[in-house]
Amino acid sequence: MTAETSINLLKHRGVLVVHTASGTRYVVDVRRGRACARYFRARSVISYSNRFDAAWQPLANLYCLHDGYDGVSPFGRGRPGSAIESWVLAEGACHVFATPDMHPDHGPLHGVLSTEAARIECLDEVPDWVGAL
Amino acid sequence: MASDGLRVVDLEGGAAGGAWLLLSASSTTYAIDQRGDVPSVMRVRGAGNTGEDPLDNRWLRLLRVEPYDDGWLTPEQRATPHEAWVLMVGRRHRLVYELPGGNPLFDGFWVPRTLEGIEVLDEMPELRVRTRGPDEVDFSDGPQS
Repeated sequence: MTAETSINLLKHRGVLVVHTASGTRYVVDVRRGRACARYFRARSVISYSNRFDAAWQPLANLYCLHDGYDGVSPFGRGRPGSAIESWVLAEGACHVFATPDMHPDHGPLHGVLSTEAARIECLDEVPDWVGAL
Repeated sequence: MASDGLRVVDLEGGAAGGAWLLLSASSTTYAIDQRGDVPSVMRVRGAGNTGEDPLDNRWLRLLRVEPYDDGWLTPEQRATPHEAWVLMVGRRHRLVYELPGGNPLFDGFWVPRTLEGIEVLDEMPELRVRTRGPDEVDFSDGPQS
């Protein structure tokens, strides 16, 4: 169990648990690569709920939104071109978990926005508490 | 560097390719960067009594800048046309951004308070980027090829 600051999921195989600032945990399963990627949202009591909670959802895309403001300049942490990355998990950044949405009134994808990732855990297997939820 | 005289910025016309900071009575400011391939916007959250958005302090793709009528425009302002992609001091705007990973049918937007100032975010141009127009002559090294 090691903690990383930034993980590229296109090169990483395993299970990652994202502990966010709100207490909500996201489990990302990329053991079989990007095509079979899935995620699980374990909602904390203070977080909003959505239709995709507490179940494994296919992960169509994962966006990493870096905090670009250092308190002084909007360019303090780099230019906008590098602000949104795909298939990257980073500590301190918000993430959008995009999953196919079959609802007829909605579009092909639904993005679930997380709060800042406080800690990212790298595991080999899905933790036991996921099955208990 | 603050530009006191900057009242109107046409983001599609002569001002395309710059970076701007929109100032209002709020401590929250909005930054627009048009120097990349696609325009970007950031809601720079200020301190104190200001709203919080989960997408604050993040660069997002700017889709549109629209005029916003809050119903308090003066007759002189109503007589002046306000077009999309034009920033005008004294007016309100709707900044439409792309929700990353979301439904492309729905876009996010912010409506800042009345624009009270436009600040130019000065920065050196990027490497190998033209700093003068194609038909602008520099007499020290001749016309641009």
